[in-house]
Amino acid sequence: MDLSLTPSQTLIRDSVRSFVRRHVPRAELVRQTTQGQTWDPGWFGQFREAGWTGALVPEALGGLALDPLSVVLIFEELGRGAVPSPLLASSAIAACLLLACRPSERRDAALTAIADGDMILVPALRRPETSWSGVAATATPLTSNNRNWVLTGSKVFVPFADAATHLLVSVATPDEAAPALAIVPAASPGITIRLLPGFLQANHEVSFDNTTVAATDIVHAGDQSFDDALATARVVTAAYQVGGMLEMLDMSVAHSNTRIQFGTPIGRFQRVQDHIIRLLNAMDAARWATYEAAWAIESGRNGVARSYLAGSTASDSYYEAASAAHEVHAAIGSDPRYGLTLYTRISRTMYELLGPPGWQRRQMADTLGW
Amino acid sequence: MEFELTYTAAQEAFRSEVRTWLAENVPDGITDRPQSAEESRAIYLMRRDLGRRLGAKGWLYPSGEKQYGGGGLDLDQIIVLEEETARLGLGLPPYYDSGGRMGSASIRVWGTEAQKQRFLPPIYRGEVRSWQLLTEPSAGSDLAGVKTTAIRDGDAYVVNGQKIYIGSHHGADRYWTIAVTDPKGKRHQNVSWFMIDASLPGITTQPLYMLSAQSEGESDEFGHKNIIFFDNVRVPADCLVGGENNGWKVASTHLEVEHSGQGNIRTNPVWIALLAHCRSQHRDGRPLIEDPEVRSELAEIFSRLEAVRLLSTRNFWMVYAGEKRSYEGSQVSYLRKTTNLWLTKAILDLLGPGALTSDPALGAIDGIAEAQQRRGIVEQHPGGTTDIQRVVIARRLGVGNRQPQEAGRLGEEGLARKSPVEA
Repeated sequence: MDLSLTPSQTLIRDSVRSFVRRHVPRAELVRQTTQGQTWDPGWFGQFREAGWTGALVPEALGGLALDPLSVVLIFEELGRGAVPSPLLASSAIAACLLLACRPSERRDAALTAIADGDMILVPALRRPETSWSGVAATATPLTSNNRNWVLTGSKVFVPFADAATHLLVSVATPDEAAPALAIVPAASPGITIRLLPGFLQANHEVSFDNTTVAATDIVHAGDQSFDDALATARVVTAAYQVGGMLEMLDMSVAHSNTRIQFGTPIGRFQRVQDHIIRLLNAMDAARWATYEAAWAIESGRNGVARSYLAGSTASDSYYEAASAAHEVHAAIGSDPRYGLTLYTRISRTMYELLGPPGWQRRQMADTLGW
Repeated sequence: MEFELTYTAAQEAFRSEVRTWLAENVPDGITDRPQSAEESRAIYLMRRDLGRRLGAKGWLYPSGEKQYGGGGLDLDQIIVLEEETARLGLGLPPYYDSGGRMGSASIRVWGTEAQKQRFLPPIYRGEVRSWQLLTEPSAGSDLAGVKTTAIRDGDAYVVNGQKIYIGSHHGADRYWTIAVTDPKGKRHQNVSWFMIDASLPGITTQPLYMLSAQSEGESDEFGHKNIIFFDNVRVPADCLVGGENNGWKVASTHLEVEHSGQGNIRTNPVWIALLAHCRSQHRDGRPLIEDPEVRSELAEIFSRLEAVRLLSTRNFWMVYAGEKRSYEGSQVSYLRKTTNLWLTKAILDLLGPGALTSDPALGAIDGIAEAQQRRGIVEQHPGGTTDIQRVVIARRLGVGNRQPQEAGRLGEEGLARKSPVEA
């Protein structure tokens, strides 16, 4: 047993931490957010230079092929900074989905382009008016038009679709039973991307109106189901959530020590302490489930089941932690200029990103063979 | 990171030595559930006898220094010993020895050389069983508010007062306690630690029956706690440990162990039994496990218990690796207590009123469910209430503009895992 980080893992964590400290000041994030900017191409350019865009892509395809824990640490630090970017969608979720597809020229070229940062591939999965029951169930049927396919319909709650160079759309083709994904250029005719208003971070509705999809842009699932293939993406997503909780914890402790009421720092009050402890416990439960899941994936110990545990725990925990942080901060926490709500909004937006926690727990039970 | 223990060839060789020895020395029936007070006594004596035999090999307190009768074993060996005894349903020590397990840590950190030589060997060799005596009728969470006095009189301290919720059944040989040595002194600076021979004149014991009193033999029916009265008990002055009026600091070592500072890496045995039950039992014509609602509830229970297990594993590793600790011990204690209380309702929801009876026909999981219903409640207070754990966590985090408080010293004792009674 050894729960320490390797020197190279520490190095990666520190380099991401240092990037966030130097380049993503909270005031700048608040400014961008209040002006409606969803992501910063400059920051993404630096991820690309550092190679993080290819963190999960095999070396043969131009990626870094990092171990899962290293990728967890990258996203934990980005989550701590509430750094908004399509990196999670493209380099974790889309990359994991592609890696589960049968090898093809198109698949490999896409993975290489993701790693290089030339392609930002955003998964567009959820259909309106359906409850989540896994990736395969989200498929939108394609119709045939000569030698090409035609896509009509909409995908909802698509994160960072405005940043996409390409969309990874779950589709079904009449000629093939295996679940399929279409790699569709975001600028294709017939595509409309609409930012969803409200308490969401960079979520979009993507509508397809008779959009032509080249047959060569379709990739099919291999032996592994898409949901199983997302194990690493679930853990990495959980890590981003854990990072947010770590920052909310620091903010809450600091606030409790500096905010004076009744002539004393409010942290002296046990009711205030209780909120912080609730936050701490939620964070640690998610953090250690995430680390263990990363280890389980790497060491072949039912990483899929452990990823569902990490995913459901992190979603529940981030929601809870954010609520607790607001109880500590009271009014000032609700002022968007203060910065706490950057995290709160992400905690809500990401709650169901890869399926609701209850669904993830049921998947865990199935995967554990109960 | 590596979340599993891996074993060296030397460890595996030691494992086979331990397994062979245990097969020859652990008597049949030692883990039976007693059906009468006589059986309960007989099982307790079996466990003490096993303790003496383990002690003779240095395996009762394997982390104790050899010069004081401990095993002087390294952590690799201790882990194997604990795993092998746990495999047989036993802990180390195989009986409730709270004063020995925690008290020996205090002596190692705070005792004089002469005290170590005098007090540690009988504990390590299993010759005596020790209990800790902390709580009083008016001093529970507020331990510093104890009223028992120990007033110096010549070569002795004269002890008067009473301690409550103590020990288990079948008695003990030594008591570790905290008492006021300076009635006019300031709080925290007026108390001292003592090792007291339980046979001294003036000590009387009265049994105290609780909702659950699990101890040797896993028996609730025949178990109890105790009230212990001190009436002008003359305790030799050299039984004071850690210096007069320094008892609060000694207590910090003791309490750190009790507040789960050590961690452990076991899966909750109630969970294992619960899952097996849902797989094998039928309700409404189908296995429980096939009911979607049951599956969801089980998944929720598992997730909560996994959080506790993972954080316990983290604590185990932190001690193992000598990492600096802060709030982690109290966090696990808090989560274990709150989760087990929550679990009583979750199991009641899952199993219905069968969870509330130990009836052989109608009760669930061979009485394990019913025992958990009671234990989940009783577990709330030992080693500090959930409220006290939160106070400790907040102080360790430095909440309230305080300098973050440091964790208590564990001494080398820190690695010994808890006996099943307390884990």
